[in-house]
Amino acid sequence: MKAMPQYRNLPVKLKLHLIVMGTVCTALLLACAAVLVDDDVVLHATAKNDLGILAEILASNSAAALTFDDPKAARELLAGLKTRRSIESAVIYSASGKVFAAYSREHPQRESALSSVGNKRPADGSLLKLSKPIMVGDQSIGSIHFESDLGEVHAQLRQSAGVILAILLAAALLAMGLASRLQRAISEPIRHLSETARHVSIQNDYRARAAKLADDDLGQLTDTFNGMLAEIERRDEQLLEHQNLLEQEVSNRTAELVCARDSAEAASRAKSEFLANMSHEIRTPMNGIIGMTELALDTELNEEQRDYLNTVRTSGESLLTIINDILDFSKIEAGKFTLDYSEFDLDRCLQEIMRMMAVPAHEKGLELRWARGPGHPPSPRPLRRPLRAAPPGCPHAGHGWLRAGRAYSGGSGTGWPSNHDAQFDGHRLHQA
Amino acid sequence: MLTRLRFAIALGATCILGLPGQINEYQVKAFFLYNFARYVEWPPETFKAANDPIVICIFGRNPFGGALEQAVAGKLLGARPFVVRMIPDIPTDSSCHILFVNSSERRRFRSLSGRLKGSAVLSVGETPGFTADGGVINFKLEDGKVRFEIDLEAAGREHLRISSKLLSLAQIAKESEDGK
Repeated sequence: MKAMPQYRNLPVKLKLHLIVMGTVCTALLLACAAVLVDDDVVLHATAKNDLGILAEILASNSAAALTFDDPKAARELLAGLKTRRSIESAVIYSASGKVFAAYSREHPQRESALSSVGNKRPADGSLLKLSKPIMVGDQSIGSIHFESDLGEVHAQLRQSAGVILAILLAAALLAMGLASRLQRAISEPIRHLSETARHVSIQNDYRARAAKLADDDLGQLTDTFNGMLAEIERRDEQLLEHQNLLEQEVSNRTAELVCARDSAEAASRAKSEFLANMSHEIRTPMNGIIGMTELALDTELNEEQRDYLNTVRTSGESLLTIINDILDFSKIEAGKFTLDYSEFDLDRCLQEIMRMMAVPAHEKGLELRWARGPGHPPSPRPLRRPLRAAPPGCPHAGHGWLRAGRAYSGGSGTGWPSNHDAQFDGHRLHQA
Repeated sequence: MLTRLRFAIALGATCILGLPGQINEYQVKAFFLYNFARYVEWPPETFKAANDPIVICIFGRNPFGGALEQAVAGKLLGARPFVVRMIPDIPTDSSCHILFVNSSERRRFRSLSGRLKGSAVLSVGETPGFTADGGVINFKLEDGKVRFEIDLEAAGREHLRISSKLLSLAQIAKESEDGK
């Protein structure tokens, strides 16, 4: 029982060998045992039969010697047995039971072999005993007793056992050779299949196929295995196709997006460039306007003209500031914006704004006033240039919806926004 | 008188030798005589029927006493019984199958043996030179044991076939060397 798991774990090739050899050897051993037993029976029977015939002949031949009371002749007759090496001893008894003549193989010259009979003899098992009456007519005048050594029979048996053993060995060798040739029909496809399966599982090569060696069960197994591999390969291909398709799609989309981004960027850049150019183009005539206005102010003017020209000049300057702001926005977009500090007088700035807005407000019957709140920073104080545009927006807008009444513009107590907020506000203002 | 005396001595010897369990020479010879019939084959024309008896003739004085009759009593060879007959003369026909010649009749036998020629009679004697006189078998004593010699020529003359088994026990007589 202990050997069973070991046997179970043997390779198929070895198992087939063992099965074939086990079967063949068992059959051969049984056959040889049967032959040997048969040989044993036949040889014993033959020995007994031979001895019987010999006894018959000797009984017949010794009858005359016994009849005519000639023990010498009888001994001579028995001495002829020395050619028969298997005869251990032979004794002729007269009718009265006395030893008439005796023969012993070991002591052929001894007068009476009887003394030696019984000593120094092979074991009883290897002695064949036989006795025959000596008949004259229908009358028994004595008997003849034989003891035959079966050593010869045993030697023959040993010889035939040797021959049978040699035949057994030769047959076993032949069977082994045949088995090792014939078992390939079964073990080869299995080994091939297993190797292919291992190759597939290790190399992930689903294109590999097992070769079909015969159209038997193993051939069908190979077909099924190959079919499974083909199915896996087909699915793999489909998967690969899908993947490729997906990748194509992704790259297409990416290209489209890149294109869109590029065009958007180009558009943005064009706009910025346009704005920058436009600012330049606008700034040049503005400088002309401001310059000429200042020149005109240096001439002889009445109060009213001077006031108008001043308004023109401040409006011009405001416009120039706006233009600069626009330029700044385009710089923001281009990421080249830099902040610079300059003197800023809030009161003055507000006065300018008030003056600028006063005319349209007046036309609508509105009075524009401003006042400083308590928390306002002392003026002048430094402020970033771009945010100067913030205050004018508010009154302007307020001017839109405060048709009557009083528009009040002034800083609240929270103070001016931080740098970050100011930048953000500027952006918002630009959008508005 | 002498004969009587000799007889008395013989009788006494017989009595002494013939003690129960002891076998004397003539008992053995009687036994041999009828057993010769087992190993000798007569020509087929000798016997008319299958149960014709084998006749043992004693020529001359009967030395067996009743031993021969005793020996053959009730014995059969095949279907043939044995008959013992005393004859005063050598027969000229084949009425005797076995002819025992007493030593006392040797001289007569020598002169009359020519009559037997070809009549298929097994002549058995007990005197030296008996075979030279034309006898077939001659008893001898060797170391007190009864043995016999056989003359194959004589047997051939009488058309008798003697079994090799018997021959193997006998001395083969040579006529040329015989007759001393």
